[in-house]
Amino acid sequence: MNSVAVYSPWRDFWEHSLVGPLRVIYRNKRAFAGMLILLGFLFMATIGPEIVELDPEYHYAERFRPPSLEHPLGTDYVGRDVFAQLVHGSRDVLSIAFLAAFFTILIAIAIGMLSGLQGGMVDVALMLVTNAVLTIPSFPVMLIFAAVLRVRDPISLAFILSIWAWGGLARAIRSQILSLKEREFIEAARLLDLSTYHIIRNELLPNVMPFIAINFLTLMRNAITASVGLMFLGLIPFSAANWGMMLNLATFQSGAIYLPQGIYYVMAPMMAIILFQLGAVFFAHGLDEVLDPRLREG
Amino acid sequence: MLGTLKRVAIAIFTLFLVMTVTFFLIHQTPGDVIQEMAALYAQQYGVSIEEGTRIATSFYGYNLDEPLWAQYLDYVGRLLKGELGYSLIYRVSVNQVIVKALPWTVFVLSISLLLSFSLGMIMGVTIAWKRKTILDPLVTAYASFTGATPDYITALVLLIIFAIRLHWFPTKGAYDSALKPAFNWPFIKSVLHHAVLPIVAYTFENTAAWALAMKGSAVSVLGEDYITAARARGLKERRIMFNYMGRNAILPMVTGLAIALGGMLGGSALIETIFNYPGVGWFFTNAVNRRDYGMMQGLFLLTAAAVIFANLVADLLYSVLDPRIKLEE
Amino acid sequence: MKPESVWIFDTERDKRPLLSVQDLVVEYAARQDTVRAVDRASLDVYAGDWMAVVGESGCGKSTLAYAIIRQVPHPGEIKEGTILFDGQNVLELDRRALREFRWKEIAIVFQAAQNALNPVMRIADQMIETVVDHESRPRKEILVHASELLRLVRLEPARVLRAYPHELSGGMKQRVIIAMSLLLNPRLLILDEPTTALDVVTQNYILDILADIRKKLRLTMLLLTHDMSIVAKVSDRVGVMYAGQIVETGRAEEIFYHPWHPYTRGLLKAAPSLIGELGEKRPIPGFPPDMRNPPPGCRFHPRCSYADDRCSLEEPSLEKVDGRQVACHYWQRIRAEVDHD
Repeated sequence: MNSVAVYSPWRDFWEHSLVGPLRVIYRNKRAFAGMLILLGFLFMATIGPEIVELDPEYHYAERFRPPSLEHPLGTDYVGRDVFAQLVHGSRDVLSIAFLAAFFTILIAIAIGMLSGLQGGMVDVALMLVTNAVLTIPSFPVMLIFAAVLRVRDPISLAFILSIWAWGGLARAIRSQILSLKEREFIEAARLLDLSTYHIIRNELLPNVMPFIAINFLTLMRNAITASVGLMFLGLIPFSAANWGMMLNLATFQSGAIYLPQGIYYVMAPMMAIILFQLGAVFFAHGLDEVLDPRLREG
Repeated sequence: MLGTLKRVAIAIFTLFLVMTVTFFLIHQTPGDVIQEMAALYAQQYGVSIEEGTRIATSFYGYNLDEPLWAQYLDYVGRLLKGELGYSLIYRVSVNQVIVKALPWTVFVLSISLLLSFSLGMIMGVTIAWKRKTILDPLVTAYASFTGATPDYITALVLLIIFAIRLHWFPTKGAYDSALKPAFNWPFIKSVLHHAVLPIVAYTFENTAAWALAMKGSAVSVLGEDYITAARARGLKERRIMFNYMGRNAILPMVTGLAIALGGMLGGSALIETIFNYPGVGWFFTNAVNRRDYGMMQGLFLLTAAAVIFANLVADLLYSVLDPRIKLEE
Repeated sequence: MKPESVWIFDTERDKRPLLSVQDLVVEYAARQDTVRAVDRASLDVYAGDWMAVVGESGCGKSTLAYAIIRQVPHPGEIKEGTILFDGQNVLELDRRALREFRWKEIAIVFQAAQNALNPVMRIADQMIETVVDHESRPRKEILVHASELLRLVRLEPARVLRAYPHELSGGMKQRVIIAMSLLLNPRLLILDEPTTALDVVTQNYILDILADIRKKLRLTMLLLTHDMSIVAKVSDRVGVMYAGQIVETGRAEEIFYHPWHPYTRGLLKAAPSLIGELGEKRPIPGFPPDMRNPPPGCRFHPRCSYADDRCSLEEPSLEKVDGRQVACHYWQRIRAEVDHD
């Protein structure tokens, strides 16, 4: 009979987000390299710990060994394998970053949408708060939170990481909403008497999603930088294999930085962090091109 | 005039917001923090819990028996008088800590900001002016690298290579502890010597960002008609570069200064800790690690106030520098 | 007939032209294609004349103007041809000589000149800069001179010199630019669509001012426009430009009353007549050519009612006849028709 093809912005979004984008990424060498790096870390975080075993025993005789077949990145100050620690730590690092980015996005969407849709005093008040959050540097705030609230598990850490990170995104979402509000299809939806929830879900969110997608990676990167920083200072004592914690032990507690043999123990987490961040930055450039075709070369 | 007042009002409001949030944060469960402090105090100094509680309360300066809002007003009152709190570790007012620590942080940060800004401006202008140089991909690569690397890692690497391995620079302090502060060359030399690594860390981390920002601004200015018109008028290249491109491209950078300052202050907690440099950041980290809530709160408020003020100044400065901007919105 | 504000120097006619552009080619290298914005154009401007070059948007007039002072914007390059100014080849000047040459010999008023002023500097300072980079004159003297010129364009010097560009209206800025162009007493003033961005009343005002200036300073002017009415109002000589080439030149009356090129004829028919009777308005059929792939032979032939096979194979050269120039294989036919009308 008569079938009416329903235009779903969601389906459009998903269709557009696989084949086309992959091709664009592939063409941009740096972005492709970035993607490979990120996939590598993803693999390391998900499957890695199952493959590589972490021996928690102390082997004082094996302290600060240089890289070898048995210990690809050497050993730490009590003889544990550095590479294994890196692999096991990656799971925590990435999952916390992922959670933090997720929380941040939730908060940003809530505030951005509320501000954009409501307008008026609510908007003014929320924007003042957002402005404060953007102005005040986030790291000292996170330090205070870490000191005041007891951080015992990944979720509370992710929460702390997201608490001061939503400012920029909230503001951007609000702008998007404000400009979308003017456009006809919202008027049309209103006229059709569709509920606000429906409007948000089916009209606003799909338009805002691509933007959020780009920022997800950036938020993860910032979360990693911040979480490693916090751990580096010894404030988050719940996981020893975590990269930040490794740095903390290496710098402040084991004297590794003062010993020439300790260099591998110190370098390993640093390299891991730098590598991940670079991969994310390169891949993000590619994502930019995917989502804004004008940036593509040729 | 109205615009200026509005901005000042927003700044003050933001500051109050920060003060309030900090208060409630540190106070989240009234008594909880005090109790913890009391227990710690009792443990460290071998006094009874009651005595510990009494001391902790008096250190905080507010009366726990009072209702929360009264405590808040006390707190605000004290802040307005300029008293930023009391440090438990050092048993002095936070103000005294600040007097000792702030000059070092200001010293290092201002030099770093100046250096990274100037270098960045020059790089950005050069890349934008000459269309194809090797400098462009170099600076972009440099920017990618510093953008990806957290500032504390750069600092750590610098420490390990130049201080620990090569022994070219000291690993702690603002000056050689054997020297007494005075206006003589040995002291000044020692101060500079100790400041080099922190300054390099900040500058290395930030220069690329400035360069790229300036490049972007300069490139868009170069596309403007008045540049073409200036060339058609036969003006000297140098004049066009400075008066026409430079003065217009630098305008958006002014607000960036305040943001950069905020970022550097935020990073100072880690960087000063790594270099054992006794500035505000170092004391803040110390306070956090040892749960000295008084000092934490005081130093944090100082940092917040400084950043808010810097942003206000940058905003107002921008409107002075650009004759097109009227402050009323 | 022509309004009185035009004053013709007929003694200049036999001399060598002040500006002579010969077979100029300017190309823009876009990503995959090359666009020939100016495609072997030749033009002569005689001292004391007010010459207008008229053509549709996109015919290459602006590029021609830029090329004369060698300021073709970035992906563009002057590929071939000569530009002689008072016998000197502009294309051979070195960078230093070129910088000194600009503004002193030839000054140009760009299209949308409103944006030609530095937003963060006062007008007075920009005037002073313009002079100081060419000759050393004391500040006071420059400002006195600038004030005279501002009065000449009917602006109040005291107010304008002190102002920043954004404090002035569009028309005022345009006049400031014109005044600024005269600071070094250039011999030739090029104006690229000086009135396009303005309303009709202001347009007339500006043209009036230009005529005034020309009379007082004995200036040679080259005006580029797509607006036939302006051309009719003020010019002594007219050049018609199409698809990057000058297809016809001649004195204004000759061009308006006895056009020899089909395109010129078409243009005149397309515009409502300001001279003579109100005839039928007939636009030229077809579209301006794509300059990435211009038509072979005569560029106009796809739209020309007189065209035949020869026109699509052979490019007509610019023939000189009786002090006029025309580039068409069958110009005599058109002349016969026009004379007959």
